[in-house]
Amino acid sequence: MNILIIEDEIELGESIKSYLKSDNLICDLALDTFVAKEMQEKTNYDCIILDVMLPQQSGIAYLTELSKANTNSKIIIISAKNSTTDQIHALNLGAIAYLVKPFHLATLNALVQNLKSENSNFKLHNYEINLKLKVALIDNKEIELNKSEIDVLNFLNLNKNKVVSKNAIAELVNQNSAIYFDNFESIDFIIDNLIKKLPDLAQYLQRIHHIAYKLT
Amino acid sequence: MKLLNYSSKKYLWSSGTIILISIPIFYFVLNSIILSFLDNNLQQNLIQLRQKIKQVNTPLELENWLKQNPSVTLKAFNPSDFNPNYFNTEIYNLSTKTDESYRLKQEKIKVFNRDFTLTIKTSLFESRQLLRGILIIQIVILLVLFIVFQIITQNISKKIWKPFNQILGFLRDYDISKPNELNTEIIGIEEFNELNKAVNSLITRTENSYNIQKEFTENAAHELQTPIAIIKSKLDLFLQDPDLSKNQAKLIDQISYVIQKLADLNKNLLLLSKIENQQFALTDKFNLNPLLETTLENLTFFAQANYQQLIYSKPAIVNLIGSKSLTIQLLQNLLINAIQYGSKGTLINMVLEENSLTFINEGDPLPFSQEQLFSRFSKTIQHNQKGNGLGLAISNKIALVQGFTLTYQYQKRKHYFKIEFNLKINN
Repeated sequence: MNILIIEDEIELGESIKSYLKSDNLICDLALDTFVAKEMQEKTNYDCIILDVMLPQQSGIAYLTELSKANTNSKIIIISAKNSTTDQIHALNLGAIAYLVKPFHLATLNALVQNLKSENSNFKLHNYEINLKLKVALIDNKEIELNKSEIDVLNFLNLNKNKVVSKNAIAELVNQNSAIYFDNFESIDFIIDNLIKKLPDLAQYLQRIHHIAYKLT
Repeated sequence: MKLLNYSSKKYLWSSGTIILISIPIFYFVLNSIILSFLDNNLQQNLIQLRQKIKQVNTPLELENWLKQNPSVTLKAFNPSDFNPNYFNTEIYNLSTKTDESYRLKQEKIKVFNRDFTLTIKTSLFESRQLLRGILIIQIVILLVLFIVFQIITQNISKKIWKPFNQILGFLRDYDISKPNELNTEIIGIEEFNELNKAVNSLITRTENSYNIQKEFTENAAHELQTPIAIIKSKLDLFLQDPDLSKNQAKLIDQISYVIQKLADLNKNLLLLSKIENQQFALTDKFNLNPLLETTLENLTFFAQANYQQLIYSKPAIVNLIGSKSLTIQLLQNLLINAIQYGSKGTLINMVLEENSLTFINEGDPLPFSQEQLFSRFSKTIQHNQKGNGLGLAISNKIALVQGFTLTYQYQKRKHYFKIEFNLKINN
């Protein structure tokens, strides 16, 4: 899978590139849309991660151009602008997601990994997980999971082999509320419940120094 | 007191006083004019009388002549009865049996070598009647003038102050956060035209500085998010290091915590400023029930981690008009607040009624007032503060901007946060 990151903040661009790079992902970084256009002539990108506030041509103007050209690339917008109007506008122009800065790299990675499969089921070791039905299947036995559990499990699975901080999980579940979670007891609670329900996961889910989790 | 009433009252008082003073003055002036006219007549008559008497030859002739002229009397001269000036007196009228007023003039006269007092009189009855008639007409005219004057004044004042009231109404309805059309009507009175121009120029300047400030706040908030995003991404990368030590992990956690707080604070300040600038369309029509159910489902884990149970009773279906996204934020904030500050292992109730939604949680009383509870950062004085001190301020603003009322009560160890939708319910 080829990914093009268009981000004028080189430090952020490099971080994204470094985090996403893996065996099956090839990432390129462009600091503006002109360089991006040159790169696109050479490579057919499956996904474009596009910043909005760019020098010379804005991300939205470029998105309009791409949408007029009927691009096959899936576009994820990353922007500090968080208004619903901006988000709806970008989605109407054909973006598949709108991520508000500052975000955790795990969140962006989950979006990118999600592009690979449109299936709402995935296999996780001995379990067959059905996201729509919120159940885990093992030996023809259905285990029901609640919304937070299924969300967290999916998130960890999309970030497989990566260390995901509790902070990133909290961001996933706290619904962008204005009231900040005071501690991550609730995140541990979700993980503990998941392990109780899916005990075989215990050996694949590592706790990293009490601040993060890693699913292998 | 209204300007129009003030000027009318002033006019009323002054014109009333002038009329009241003018009536007696007018009476005295008119009275003296009539008297001087009568005196003149008496004087003329006296001159003629003197000549007549000179022509009388015998006392008998005189007596007959006097009988024919009842307005003339001739009596032997008595200095004590004599009055050389014109004077009024009441004389009893036998036929009408009433006292009648007369104007008299006396003169000392020599007839047949004897001194007499010649008195000539004229009735004041007719002139008094005339005076009364004139006075009545005068009073009526003055009163009519007074009333007409008042009506005209009132109308003119209304017309004069109309542009002023227009400008006042424009200023009263003026809302800087909404697009306003300037008061461009051309007004006939120069001073008001000037005032209108001054108001328009003031508004243009204020709007410009308001827009610059608004843009600055938004840009500053957005610009701040980028370095935060960089730090956050670097910490995420750092976390991937397979040789990460326990101490390094702890440091990452501490920095993440502060960065997250900073990002949330920035995001919430921006949200507050956007709400205050009314940058949210308040025209979504939506049903509150599914929003509340989704919020509940999303946050159940958070309550469970605190061993709390969420109880939702919904005897009503509530349809609202406002901002859907802001309302979701309001529900999340209040529910997270109830969970976060609710005691462990207790119940959290949400009661949805036709015109209100109440979040109830058990907990210790607050050591500060309701105003402080809803004001920004006031809770930062609290050592056990859990949020960034903006959550409830934002909730209150969201409620206000949509015409809801958010109130807080503490009763029997329970905190009540009640949103009243202030809907007009059709029965």
